[in-house]
Amino acid sequence: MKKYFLIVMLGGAVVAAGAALVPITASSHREAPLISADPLADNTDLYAFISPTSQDKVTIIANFIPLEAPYGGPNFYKFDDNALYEIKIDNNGDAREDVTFRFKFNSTTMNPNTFLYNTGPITSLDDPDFNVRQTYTLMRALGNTGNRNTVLGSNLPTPPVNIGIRSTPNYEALAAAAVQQLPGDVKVFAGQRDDPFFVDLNVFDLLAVPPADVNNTDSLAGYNVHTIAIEVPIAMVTSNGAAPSSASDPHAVIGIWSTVSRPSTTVRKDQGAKSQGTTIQVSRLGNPLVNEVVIPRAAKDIFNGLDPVDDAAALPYVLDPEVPKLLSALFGIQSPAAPRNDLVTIFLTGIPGLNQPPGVRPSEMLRLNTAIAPASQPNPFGVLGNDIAGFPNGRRLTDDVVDIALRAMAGATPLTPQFNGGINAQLGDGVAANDRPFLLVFPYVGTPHAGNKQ
Amino acid sequence: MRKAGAIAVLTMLATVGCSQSTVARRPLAEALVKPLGSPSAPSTSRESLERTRMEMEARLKTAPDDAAAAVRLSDALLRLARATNNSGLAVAAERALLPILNREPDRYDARRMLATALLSQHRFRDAIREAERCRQIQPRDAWPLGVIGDAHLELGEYDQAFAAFQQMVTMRPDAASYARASYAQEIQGDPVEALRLMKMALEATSPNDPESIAWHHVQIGGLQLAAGRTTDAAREYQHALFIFPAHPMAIEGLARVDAAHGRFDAAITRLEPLARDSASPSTVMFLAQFLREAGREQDATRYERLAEATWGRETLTRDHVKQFAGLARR
Repeated sequence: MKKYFLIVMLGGAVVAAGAALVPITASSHREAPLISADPLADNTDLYAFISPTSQDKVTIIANFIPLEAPYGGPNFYKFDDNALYEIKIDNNGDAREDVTFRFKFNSTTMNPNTFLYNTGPITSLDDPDFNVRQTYTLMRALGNTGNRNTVLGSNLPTPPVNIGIRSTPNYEALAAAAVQQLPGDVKVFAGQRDDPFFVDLNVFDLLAVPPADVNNTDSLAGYNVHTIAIEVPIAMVTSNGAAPSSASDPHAVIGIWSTVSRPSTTVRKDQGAKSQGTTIQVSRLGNPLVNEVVIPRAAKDIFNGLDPVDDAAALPYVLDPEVPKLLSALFGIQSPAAPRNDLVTIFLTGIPGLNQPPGVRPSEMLRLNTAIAPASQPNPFGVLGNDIAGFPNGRRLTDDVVDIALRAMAGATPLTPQFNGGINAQLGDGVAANDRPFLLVFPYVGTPHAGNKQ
Repeated sequence: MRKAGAIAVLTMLATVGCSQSTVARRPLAEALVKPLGSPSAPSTSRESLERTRMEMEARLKTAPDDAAAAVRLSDALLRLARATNNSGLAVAAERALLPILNREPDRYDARRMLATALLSQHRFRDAIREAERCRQIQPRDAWPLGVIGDAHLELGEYDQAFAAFQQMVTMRPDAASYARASYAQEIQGDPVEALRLMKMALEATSPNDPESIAWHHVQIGGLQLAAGRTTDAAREYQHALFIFPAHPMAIEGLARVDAAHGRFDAAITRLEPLARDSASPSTVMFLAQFLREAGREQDATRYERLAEATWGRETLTRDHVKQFAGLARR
């Protein structure tokens, strides 16, 4: 007989004496779920661009919780109250965060006598029928993460999820009400949106790469994510506290990545105080597709826990990635031979003269030259399409990063001119745009799909 | 990460590094089957679990070598075992996996599921052995640490259990590791910390995994009940039933709340169908207790005999219930 089971039996003998003597529950069904996925702490995509509506500001969008089916009830998606969501910015090229925006969420059930998310149509963010609400505090920290936080806003509302026409009949009005203007000319939004990433996931089926002009299907059409969007004055994130004077200004380039961390704890009582203050980084994202395609599966979790300053560990995977080998094995497409210093430039250092900061320490983050104005007619191929305001100089919602990344893997960039043509420069997944239109104003990400449209 | 399909298929051909610190390369087993409740995997609602079970059984009937179907079937069976108190399903899960592992001994997701199935069968030493083997294959996966910790805990080997849980929650703080840290705290006599951690586990659970959500509500209910907060406990059990209707552990919990208030007849009314249809040993034991309190000594004794007969085997099967029913009729 197991010791723990004995506890159960002894407890069972006294159960009738009253609630105070109720036993520990049976060990035979005590095994907790073993779940390898952790979607609430999963970064999906990161975007950073100069705000098209306010060119002295930078907009950063970090998305979380992949593949949210709109029909999520009765358990609807929200941010995890115990996780710490962060957007980090390196503004001097040393691969360490200099400015961090931190988001901490708090859920409240207005009426604990019902389990329903809403008890009637939600027509405003303070509607009494809006039962399960989530607010957040936005903090800014300067320097490394041990530094003190400055609270930029607290008790900031998030909109409900887009349940459907009966529960959230005027959804965009609710979402718009959740856009918060804060002191310091900071604008922020957190809540559910359409997943703006567009891709035909067949591209990952042994690189089933069609010609780029084939109209394939966006595999993520119909799915939502949870978005954190923030718009701040450029001067708030540069190393000298000023907007850059020109694209060659040494203070112009910033590097951005997002992370999610969770608190750990001390299991044994006799091993000191609970380490509630210790957080473990469980997810990280900078450039699109790096963690998915460049970093191999066995190293993925390690990479998720790395800080950019430690990214030398990931260098071998960037110098000699797998995708070019697959392109060769499957299609006979020849790519530049390893070591792929061109990919190091694109993913780890930034491109000289465009978005590489002086004295850069190679590290994986999205690099943006904040002095380059938005394009009047953005080209979805970004820099490859001679539009230097797009990926990999930051990333806009409309940038076709799958096609760009595939072509970059094949060497079809000006960094390796001998491969910059032919089939290499035509690779793509056949999906050129998102399934939903983007907003023309902050937070730019499209309206989330409703669970019930009737 | 989200675009897991990328890794999933690329790794079928690719070779990957063993770790970041070495350039040595070895083939990785093919893509893992996403556990139920994961993004893009089926939900763990009762209906979805039953549907997944049927679909995977049908797939295996036409293609017995379909390893992915076997892994997903065993996943559904283990979930259903917990959500129905039918421990026989854990045996079925093992049976589904063994042919696959005979062909592909290093098939990681199948091996990991086998360790879990063995744990559910209370074959703790076997579970530890299999989980340790998983650790050799994928040292960065926290899942086997949960199996190892659970098994040591059940064996009363608390040092090893707590060490595994510590490693797990340090490597990957999430719902699974918070829940284990919670009951480590409970065992060590800190119900406040246990409750805090179990609530964190609930908060971290995906909405696509209602079976786990219900399980966490039940555990929180148990901690509230142990603290004498019967109203809070009842709310948690009701919430579990809202999320996962007819969850036996939640029904048992509500019966215990009734009993705590002296409503033994109500508690018996809840538990008798459960003891008939989806009983666990604890259900039977609680029912016996409540019957005795209600003055039904003879019935209580019968259920105690059933509990005694089944506890030695550590699991309660439908055959045991049938035997008991025959005994009761005599």
